[in-house]
Amino acid sequence: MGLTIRQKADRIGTFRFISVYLMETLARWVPTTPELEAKVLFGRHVWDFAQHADQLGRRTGELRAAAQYSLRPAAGYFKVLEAVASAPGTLERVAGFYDGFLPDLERRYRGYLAETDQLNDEPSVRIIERILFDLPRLKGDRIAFAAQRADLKPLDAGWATRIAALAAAEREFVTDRSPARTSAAV
Amino acid sequence: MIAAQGETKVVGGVVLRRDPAREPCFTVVQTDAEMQDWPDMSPISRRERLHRHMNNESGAMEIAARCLVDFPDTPWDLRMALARQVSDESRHANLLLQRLRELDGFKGEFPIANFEWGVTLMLEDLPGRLAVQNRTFEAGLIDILGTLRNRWREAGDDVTADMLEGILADEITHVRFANRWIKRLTEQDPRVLLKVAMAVRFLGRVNQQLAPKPGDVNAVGVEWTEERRQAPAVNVEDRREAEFTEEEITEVLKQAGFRSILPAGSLGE
Amino acid sequence: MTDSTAAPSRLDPALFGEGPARDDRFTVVDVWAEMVNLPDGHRDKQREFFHRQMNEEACVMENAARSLAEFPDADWRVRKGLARQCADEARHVLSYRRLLEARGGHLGQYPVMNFQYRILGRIDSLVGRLAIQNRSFEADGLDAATYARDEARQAGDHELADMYDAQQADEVCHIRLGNDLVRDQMAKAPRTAMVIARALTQAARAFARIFAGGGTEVEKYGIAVDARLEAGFSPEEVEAAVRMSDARRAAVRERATGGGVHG
Repeated sequence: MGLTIRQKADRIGTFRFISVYLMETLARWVPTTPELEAKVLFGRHVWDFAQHADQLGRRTGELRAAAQYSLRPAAGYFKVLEAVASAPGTLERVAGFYDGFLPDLERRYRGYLAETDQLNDEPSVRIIERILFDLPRLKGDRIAFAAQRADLKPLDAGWATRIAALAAAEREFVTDRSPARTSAAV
Repeated sequence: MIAAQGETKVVGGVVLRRDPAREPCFTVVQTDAEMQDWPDMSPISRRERLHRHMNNESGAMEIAARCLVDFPDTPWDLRMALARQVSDESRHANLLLQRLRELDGFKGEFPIANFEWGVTLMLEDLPGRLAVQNRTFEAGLIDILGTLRNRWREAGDDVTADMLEGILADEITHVRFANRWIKRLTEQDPRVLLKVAMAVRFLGRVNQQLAPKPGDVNAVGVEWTEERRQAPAVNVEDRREAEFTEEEITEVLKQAGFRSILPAGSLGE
Repeated sequence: MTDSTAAPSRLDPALFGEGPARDDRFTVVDVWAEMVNLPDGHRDKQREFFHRQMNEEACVMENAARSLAEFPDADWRVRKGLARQCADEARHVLSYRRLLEARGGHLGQYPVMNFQYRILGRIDSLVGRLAIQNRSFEADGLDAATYARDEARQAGDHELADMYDAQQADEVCHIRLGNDLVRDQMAKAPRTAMVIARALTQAARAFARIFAGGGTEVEKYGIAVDARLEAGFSPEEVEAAVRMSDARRAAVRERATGGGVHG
């Protein structure tokens, strides 16, 4: 059994919320991170997450929710986002975001692809596939940064691992608005 | 104003936003007099130009990023434009750093100042910030780049000239989206115009207070002559592309004393 | 490639254009009476419906594709919408085929008719085509899909209900595209109303020829009010559609009961 329209809208809306949150997190870090190489790493990726949010938001408008509809994730998962944003230093920001958080997000996108009907929900599938195409490039930029700034020392070497563990512990990340399969009206 | 106490600094009697984060390798200064710049195209002058431009692009990136953070309820399409700007300015800063290194320069080789950040981040509304940062500073950059790319080309450096041309194309889009949005926001709420006017007046006051005067010298002894103090030639075509009205361009031309590339008789003069 | 529509058609060429190409697995007929119209409860009813609907979706896809090709100067937003509709309808074809084959049917098992494509072939304006295809045919489909989804859900056929659910969301977007274009054009040129009225009249005449002898005798479902509002119909338009639908259903019931006493 696949997902109802409302469940799809809620999942896509949650992914949109996350994308906007990540865009804002990177934007917040741009002026407050001293290293120029880190600034430009974050700065370039602000646009990637804005585009992800935009595409997901256009899709929510097709799934009988409002266009650019965002749904705040489940409380536990939101705390993970806050933890990512609270990184104490430049390397923790980079490692927590790219090594700790994004792989978990990637798994959740793949989970959606596995859960939804590939044909009936093809527009969502294509958007997520494009996002999944972008993520390795972001990771590549992160690796290039590490090579450029091998001189930097972490304040907390275990940060990324802890972020990854926190994210993995939150199985549910979507708060469905109502029981599934009742009505098409949103 | 949005800046809380402790987030500000006082420069020449003017309250400005405290500087954004910079690495220890940089010497951050507060006035033009503390900067090191040369009017010619000698190797050291070239490196300094790239170095200064790199920091200005960082500042533009940081300002747009802060607008995303400070105004989360802004219409989504405008947030998208700001996000795109962050990314563009980031690329520019990166390109300039690369070019600086190719010319044997390095980060921190010259002092830097964060004047645009200091002024723009004192404004508490987005239309005001767009008016100052995009419509004034970035539009000024359009003029500067219009002249500079030719100087680099004349100096035989096509690589830098081509790079500046690419940057110029992006800056036009940043100024254009600000022009469009200020117009749209003003149509929706005429009070926006007042905010824009107040922002521009604030900038005028700061400029009056801090701009170098004739006879002042910078950190390497170069004098601020009357000619150096004048605005660069107005890049009419690119300002048009950025959707300034003919009247606005004419006004800028008047203020610039017609040091423009404008053919005689155009713009109704 | 074989074109099954090459056989001469008895339909009036003033009202019906050429049919779309079909390969030789298909038997193409002209009118509803030539289709295999099975009674409710028949064991093949659902398979025949999937087969018929698969071809209808193909016609809608072909209509969107043709409009894209034939109106290159249309506003880009509309052209993008048509391209999107084309892709959506292609998915719908595949969804119906998947269901048909999963439930023991096969391509070409029943006759098909291409009236939607042929009627639109004689409409020479994009706004007229979208008024007919997106605002009329698709809006009717929306009502039917809403009913069918709820029916399938009640019967525990979630696979089918989910498919209708997904398609209904797509159709809302297509109808909105038609509504937006009609509204834009009317605002720019009020005489567009005449163009649309002429197109709708012509389509109604053609439609009546296709379904002469039955096919519109449906009284099961009414107007999907919420979905139509969501698709950009005005409350007045929806209200008018409800009134017309109620009257039509009452007439069908009356005919079905031989004009007898109503309980």
